[in-house]
Amino acid sequence: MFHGIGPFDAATGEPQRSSKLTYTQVFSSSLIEVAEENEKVVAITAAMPEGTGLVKFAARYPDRFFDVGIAEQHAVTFAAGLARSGYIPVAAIYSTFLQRAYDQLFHDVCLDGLHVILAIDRAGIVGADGPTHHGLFDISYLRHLPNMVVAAPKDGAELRSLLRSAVGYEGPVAIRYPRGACPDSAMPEGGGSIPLGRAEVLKYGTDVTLLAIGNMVHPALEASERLMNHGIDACVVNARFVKPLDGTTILDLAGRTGRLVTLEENALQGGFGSAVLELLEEHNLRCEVKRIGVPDRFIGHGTQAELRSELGLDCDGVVESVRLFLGEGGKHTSAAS
Amino acid sequence: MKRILDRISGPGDLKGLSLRELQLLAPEIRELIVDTVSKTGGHIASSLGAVEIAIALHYVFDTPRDKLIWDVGHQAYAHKILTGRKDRFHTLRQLGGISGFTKPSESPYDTVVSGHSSTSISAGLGMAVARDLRGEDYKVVCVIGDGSMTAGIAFEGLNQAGHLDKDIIVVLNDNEMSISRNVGALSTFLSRKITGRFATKVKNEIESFVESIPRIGRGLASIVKKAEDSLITFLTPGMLFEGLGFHYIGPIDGHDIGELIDTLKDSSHLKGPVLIHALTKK
Repeated sequence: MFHGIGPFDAATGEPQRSSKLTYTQVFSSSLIEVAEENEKVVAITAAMPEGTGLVKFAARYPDRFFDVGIAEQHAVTFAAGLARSGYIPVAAIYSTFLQRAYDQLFHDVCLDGLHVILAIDRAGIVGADGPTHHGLFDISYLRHLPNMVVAAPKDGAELRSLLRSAVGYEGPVAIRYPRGACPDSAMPEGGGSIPLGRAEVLKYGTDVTLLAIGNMVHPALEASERLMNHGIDACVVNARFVKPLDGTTILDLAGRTGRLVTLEENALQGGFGSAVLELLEEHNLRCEVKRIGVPDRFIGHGTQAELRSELGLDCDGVVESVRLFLGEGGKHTSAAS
Repeated sequence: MKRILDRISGPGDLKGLSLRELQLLAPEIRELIVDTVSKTGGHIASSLGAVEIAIALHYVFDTPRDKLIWDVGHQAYAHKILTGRKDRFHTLRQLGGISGFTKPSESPYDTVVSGHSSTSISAGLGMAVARDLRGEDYKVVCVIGDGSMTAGIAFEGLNQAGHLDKDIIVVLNDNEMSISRNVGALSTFLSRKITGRFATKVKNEIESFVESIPRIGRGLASIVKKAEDSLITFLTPGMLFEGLGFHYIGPIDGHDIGELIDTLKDSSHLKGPVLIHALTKK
């Protein structure tokens, strides 16, 4: 338990805990809830039961919990064996460590479309652990694999719903969520199911569409309020799925507003924004696009807030990028508007 | 003369054959593999080495109820021929024909996709865990080559299998071949030149010595047997696999169908993970 610790009181040894609810905590109780409803659900960790929030699950369902050691490749292929035999394994692995199992995802899971659920914790900027631990590539290394579903919740409540929904989907499903606090004030309860590949329009607007995935949805929403002060009326969409993309919703709004901003906490190369560009190309839709995400370089260490600020991934950064993208005045300048 | 292979349309047809017939079947299968691969191309050596293993496995186990996992499916040509794909074998690797690897969508006897190496123990362990969770009793048998055994994931699988103490049989098809020359300390460790043959020689000498003592007491015999087992374990890769929590059996002759059948039958009654070390040549 002392493997990786945050700041603590040197006199008492007590960790300086933030009282905020984390995505990991939401995953932890959601998985138990899902396992109660469906006895086929089993959980796998690669030596990270505390970090991935599986300790309670292990205590409650010792026969359905597997810690395979620091062996991500085996974890994924072991999950494939369980899935092939009718179980629904949930493998909770950090984004950066799942990179070690890319071939197993391709060869043992995706090739036969096995129903393995990947709970990808620490996706995005992780903070003080720095470049070896940021989870900035999972969208890129997952979304090109046939059969793979890639989803990211905007908050804890949606993580709960996505996890429950994933049990009902077919084939491999990856759910990525970041380290640290979720926007929710309390542990979410219940939660309906989310249709596969369905985005959610949070706010309609006429000047630009902010299409965000995962933890970038809330900064996009905040930014849209600030943009109103600059005379920019932004539409905000929670994409929820990188794959399959909600093409109907995205193409409709991109066509209506004529300008699209994608937002993700993942490498821009091959990421969510790339997926949206491919969608536009496939449908021959002409639309101005700005992608906000992590540039093509390794990101150092610092607090999550510091790094997000540096990369323009917080509300201030989004407001600035959108204003620059729309140009002076921010309003549509084309003849059509 | 009519071939024995002509009477084999599925593994069930093996059950009624005599040991002699099973032995005669092996060269017939080899001939079909060589004949086909000479036309289609493919992975010939590893498949030729595993013919007797495939016959013995399908003879002893109740496939597809028992799960057979071929690590890197290209050892599995004989398995394909024995499991209803004999007549289509000439389409090997051809467009619309049968795959050069195991493929579940092609046959219920193929339990996993296996084009890349070293995944069989992990996948098999997942199936063994699923079996026990559901309270079923099928056997899980993984066949892995010595080349595949050098990959980390194979040891990740062994490590957890030993830890969970699940009933799973791993057949190590040790042909000292792999794709190119095997490298690394493990390869030396597995090398029968240093360990296996010497161990067998020592074993035989001890046995003949014990047998030569008249009126030997039962107790002494069992002590001698135990000492002999630990010596063999020490001199063979057994030490490694026993250390990982496996029962180690071997090295045995992977071309001796009678010995393979006896060993597989015996090991299927053992509790916990078992590793059978079979030495083969192409």
